[in-house]
Amino acid sequence: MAMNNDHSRLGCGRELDEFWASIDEPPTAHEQSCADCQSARNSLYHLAAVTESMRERDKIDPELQPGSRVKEAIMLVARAEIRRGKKTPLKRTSLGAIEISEQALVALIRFAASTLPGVRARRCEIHADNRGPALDSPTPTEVRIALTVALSSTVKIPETLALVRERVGTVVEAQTSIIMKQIDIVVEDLYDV
Amino acid sequence: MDETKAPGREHPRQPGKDAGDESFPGMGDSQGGFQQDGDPDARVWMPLDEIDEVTIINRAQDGDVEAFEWLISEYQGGLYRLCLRMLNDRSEAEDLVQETFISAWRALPDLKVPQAFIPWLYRTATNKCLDLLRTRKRRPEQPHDENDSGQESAESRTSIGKGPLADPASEYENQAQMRALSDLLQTVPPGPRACWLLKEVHEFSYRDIAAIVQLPESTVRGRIARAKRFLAEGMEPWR
Amino acid sequence: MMSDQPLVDQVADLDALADSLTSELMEQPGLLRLEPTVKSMIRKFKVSLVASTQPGSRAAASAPSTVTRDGLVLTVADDRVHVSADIATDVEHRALGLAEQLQALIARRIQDSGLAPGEIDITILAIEGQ
Repeated sequence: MAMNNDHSRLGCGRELDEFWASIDEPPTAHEQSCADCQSARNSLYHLAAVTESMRERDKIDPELQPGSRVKEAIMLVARAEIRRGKKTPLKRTSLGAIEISEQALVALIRFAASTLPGVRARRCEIHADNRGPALDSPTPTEVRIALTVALSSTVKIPETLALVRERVGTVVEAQTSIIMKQIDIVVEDLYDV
Repeated sequence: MDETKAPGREHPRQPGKDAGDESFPGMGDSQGGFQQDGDPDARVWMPLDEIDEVTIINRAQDGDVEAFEWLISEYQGGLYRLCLRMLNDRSEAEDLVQETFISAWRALPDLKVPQAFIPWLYRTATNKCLDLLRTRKRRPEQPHDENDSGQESAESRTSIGKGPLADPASEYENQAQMRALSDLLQTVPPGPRACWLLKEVHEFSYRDIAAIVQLPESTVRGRIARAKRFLAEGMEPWR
Repeated sequence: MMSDQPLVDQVADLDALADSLTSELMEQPGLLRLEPTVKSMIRKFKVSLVASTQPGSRAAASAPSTVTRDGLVLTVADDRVHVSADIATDVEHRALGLAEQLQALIARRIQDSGLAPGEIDITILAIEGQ
């Protein structure tokens, strides 16, 4: 059974796709009198039914899931290839340097913002302002960040953003002594609860 | 993208809920850490199942391994079944799913539009399938057929979708029809087969499919229509 | 200058030190993991290469000796033991405070084993909730 261009139309000239789109509607006057349309309707309807069974069966058929080793192998590579990003110096004690990776700092910021109800932290960019404190210097590291968030449609935006700034600043400083010099927030999305 | 029923996805999402958790102390203990004041119910991390997908993709883009793992769990099944119905070989299908997600982890940080991630996954997997089928075609008698000594591979090439039977009588007929469709599908040329699968099994729109297979939407519509007619006619004896 | 101790003994001492540091660090509340990194993997490879190609030779003895464990690199240079540690911490503990505690602990253990502590650098690679 060859597939050629003619196969996108029925014998009576109707576009198969148009025909398929109306398969759940009652037959038109043309269809009721056209043998091509009736036969096609029946065979396409049958195909649709079998396809649907197959689609639903496939999803739950344990034979049609990838083995657990697939995810394990992917995660092994993903963990090995984590990009830690630049390091931000936190402190220089008499014993040596203490730094934090950009990835850890981003995760901390995301965590801090997401502890507030109605806030989902998305991406975060970090710009470190200085090259870190000198030996036993009381001057903390300062950074600027740009954070994108999705907010619940029920929260008041200005108040919530003020809370996000406050919480991110407090949590990051408590954890790392880093001072948030600037927190730019872009509200990308509002979601319904 | 519709939040409760996105193409390519297995399970409907729970409607978004919030951690909504004022009891979380957040800060203020002398250590500056996050002691939870003995409240075992204080939830700090919102389960990913309750978060919108764009947020999860964004987090994976920023290197969040947990978010990436969630995306694998959500989409590996669909991608695997697409590859399996394209290649008719279990271990090759698993390999391609693995390769697709590893490429994804590398590409994620630079992905501009997070909504494009799922079509990107399907595009990558579809291309890998079509490439592999072209290689097979050039070497038609390669290990897959009679040269293959292992029984495992012979097994891995047949019997897509032999799930357990529930009600023997009507189930048997259903099973037979699905198997017939599954076998018939293997005779549809790879390009149209990919389009048909993406539309009818993975429920992408024509527009998404055009982006996935990188062809004009009109070509995609034509391919799917022809595949449908071919399959419908091939299924005639089973009506 | 290196100490007069032969390289083989030094590496043996460092090995024992690295093992005891690893187990003691992992007992510290708030430390989730010592994170293996590409850096520690490469160091590990180089050391085994030196050990296998130049066992006890003068050339090897003049190079700084290094021992690695997951997330931990110990190097002897200028008669002192330098340590670089890559850590993942629990968000319920203050990350910087924990890093400082670990620095002090590492320095003490180096002294306890009769060696002199050098630079002890800590990198916080992850802060995670449970």
